[in-house]
Amino acid sequence: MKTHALEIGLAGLVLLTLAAWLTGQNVNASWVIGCVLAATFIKGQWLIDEFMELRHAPAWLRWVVSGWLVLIVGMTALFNM
Amino acid sequence: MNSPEYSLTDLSPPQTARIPGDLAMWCFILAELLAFLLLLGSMAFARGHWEQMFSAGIATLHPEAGLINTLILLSGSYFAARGVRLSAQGQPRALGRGFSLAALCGLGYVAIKLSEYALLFGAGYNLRTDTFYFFYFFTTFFHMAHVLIGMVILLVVARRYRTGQYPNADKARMAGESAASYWHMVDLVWLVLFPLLYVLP
Repeated sequence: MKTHALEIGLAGLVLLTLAAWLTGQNVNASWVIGCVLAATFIKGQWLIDEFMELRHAPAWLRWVVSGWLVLIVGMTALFNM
Repeated sequence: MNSPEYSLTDLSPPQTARIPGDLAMWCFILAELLAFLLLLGSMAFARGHWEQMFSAGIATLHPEAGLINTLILLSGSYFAARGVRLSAQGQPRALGRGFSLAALCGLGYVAIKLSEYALLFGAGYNLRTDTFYFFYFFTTFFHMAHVLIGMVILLVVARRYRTGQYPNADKARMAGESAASYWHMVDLVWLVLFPLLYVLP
């Protein structure tokens, strides 16, 4: 399982992207914004931890990059919900 | 050093917390993220403030192009990460292969983005049409420029790695991780830009 972590992660990222895109294209409701932004945060955090390999980096660096993601997603939610 | 083979097995997995790649590259990445924070934050604010203008503008975009480009960039990030991981596990040739495939994904992204620009320009939209198109063209072009820079970095590192131009395995590992980190930063920015332009209702 661990040897295929990147492949499993990529499959998860693709599925989340497709789910968010299809929902955004077909449903026009305010809850969609919350769901899409939650999916964006999950994808971004996974990318930060696994592809960028910041899970094993010094905590300050991981927090700065994750904080960037939280700020952007939070601002989008604040101004668009 | 003439041998293209680096033995990195003794360097992985990391036992203590360490920065993947060069600290100088991470300073550069954090500066880039700050620039994108200002740009994307402004765009999120404008999207909420001029809701009708943005809805009308988004309706003229090509959502399939946005989706395909997202899948392409995610695949590129996967190839780059896989290259770094396999080379650390004693397969040095995997890094060159992974970085070349990631750069190829970048090329696909640029081709789709340019064709989307051509369609929009052909329909009469440009930077001066309104606030939405200013944000759209400026932000996506700025991001695409970073994709191009990332492609160059990946290809240069892959070539230097293949031809054994790094003085030792540690320098080679640092260069590979730095290049991959920059590429992942480009992907991370797109992951946030994608819903703002193509997904959110």
